[in-house]
Amino acid sequence: MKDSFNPSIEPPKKTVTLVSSDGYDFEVEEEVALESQVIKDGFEDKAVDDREYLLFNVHSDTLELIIKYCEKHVSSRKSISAAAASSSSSNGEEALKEWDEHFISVDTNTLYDILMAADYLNIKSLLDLAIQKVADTIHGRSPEQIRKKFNIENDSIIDPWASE
Amino acid sequence: MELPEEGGGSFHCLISSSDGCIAKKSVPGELLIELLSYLPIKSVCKFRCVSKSWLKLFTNDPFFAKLHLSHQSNESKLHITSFLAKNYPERGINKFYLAETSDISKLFELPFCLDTPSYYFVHGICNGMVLLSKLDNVYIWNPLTRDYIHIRCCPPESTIPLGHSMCRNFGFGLNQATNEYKVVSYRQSRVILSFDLKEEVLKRYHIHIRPELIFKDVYLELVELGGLLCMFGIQFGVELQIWVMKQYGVNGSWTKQFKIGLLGVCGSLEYLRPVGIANSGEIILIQSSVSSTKKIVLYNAETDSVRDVKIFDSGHWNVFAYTGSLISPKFISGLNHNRT
Repeated sequence: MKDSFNPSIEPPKKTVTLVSSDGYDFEVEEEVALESQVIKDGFEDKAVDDREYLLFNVHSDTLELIIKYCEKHVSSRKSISAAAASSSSSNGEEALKEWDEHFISVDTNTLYDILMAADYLNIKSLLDLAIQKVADTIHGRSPEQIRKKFNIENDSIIDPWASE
Repeated sequence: MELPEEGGGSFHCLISSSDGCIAKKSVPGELLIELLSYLPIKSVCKFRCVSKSWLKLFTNDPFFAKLHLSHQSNESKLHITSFLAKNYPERGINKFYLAETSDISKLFELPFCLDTPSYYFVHGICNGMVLLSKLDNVYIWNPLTRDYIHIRCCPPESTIPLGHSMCRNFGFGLNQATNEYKVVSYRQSRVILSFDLKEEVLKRYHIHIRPELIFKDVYLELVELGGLLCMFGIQFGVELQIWVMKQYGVNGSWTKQFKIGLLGVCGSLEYLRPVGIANSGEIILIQSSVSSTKKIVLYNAETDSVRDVKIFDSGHWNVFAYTGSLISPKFISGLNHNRT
């Protein structure tokens, strides 16, 4: 097949397989999977033909969202650095921020699942995004509501700052 | 202020499983701490009474305090989130107040319990901590954690008459390289002195400002606006000019940013002092009249006009931009106290 070598054709992208807790396979490009620090850390140790990761803590519904997030971030980073290299103006970062905001505007159950998955897979930017969103949803609540939400028993004897 | 519950159910449902047992699906401790460190300082103060462990985390954990500070967005560091106000002592007692920029009609009185009531100078605010002095006593106080430390200051050199110790100035800052807070004492002079907290060297910035600002009766002062070193000059009753050092440390980068005509803008011969930049981009100014009535106004450069935000509209006030933190003065170990 040597004759058919054509340098203008990119080699096929390497992929890895992510398996969700409910047994679904997701084939994703290597660089997308490497957004997860956990996958990245174990990546070199794994044999090339055995790049399959069992994600016991991530349900397929959540994994689909996580992959969507990582794909978007990988492609955006490329276009941002391409724009920077050609020194053409780009609002790529602004657009990505908007996309993130839209992405994380989900119901609380989904938000929690994303938070836990981002923590488990150690995807720093997604974890920060999810944490900030959760913080935004709880910051205006009363201490009593917080106790309920986090199932905390009220053990404080007196409120030392009750006067506020 | 209560937020309405989201339609999709509360956070409670998602951290408890359907049978109400939290153990199956709870936020792990480390993640919870991370999450709490993203809360605005106001919420953290409110949630101190949730439980004993939260109280301990919020008031007595240097690691958490630093983590929390690191998560306060740059935007909130550049824009004023609250005002710290101090009224002039009545019967010798200082009173401090805190007001949120979002709700400035409410003033919280902050008890500052030092044994002897007297007049305190506010010299600087760094990461939510306030540097105060009374004669040769220097205090670092966090109004939100309510604790303070007392630094006994070396007496001024004997060549200086005793009464002049009142004029001593202090600076307060953080050396980010070593994470050390430093208090620097200096004497008033007509050049801008910059003390490099990392190198511990004094740098002099000669003021290259066009002669139009250098005339008699012009009062010059430094202020930080939006993270930039600025100098403002007031010619009483005439105008306020704000100059910005666009590139920190570069003398040639002083640029005149604003020129606010006092008569045109305030409609009277008043005194304006900039304290910071509001979220709206407007400049926050303290306006005081001849009768010493002070108020906070917002200056809009585009329309060259001010609007009144109706606070501190009477009495004698000193108002400072303030961004709170949980950093307790007691956490500051290895605090260096240098004289220059």
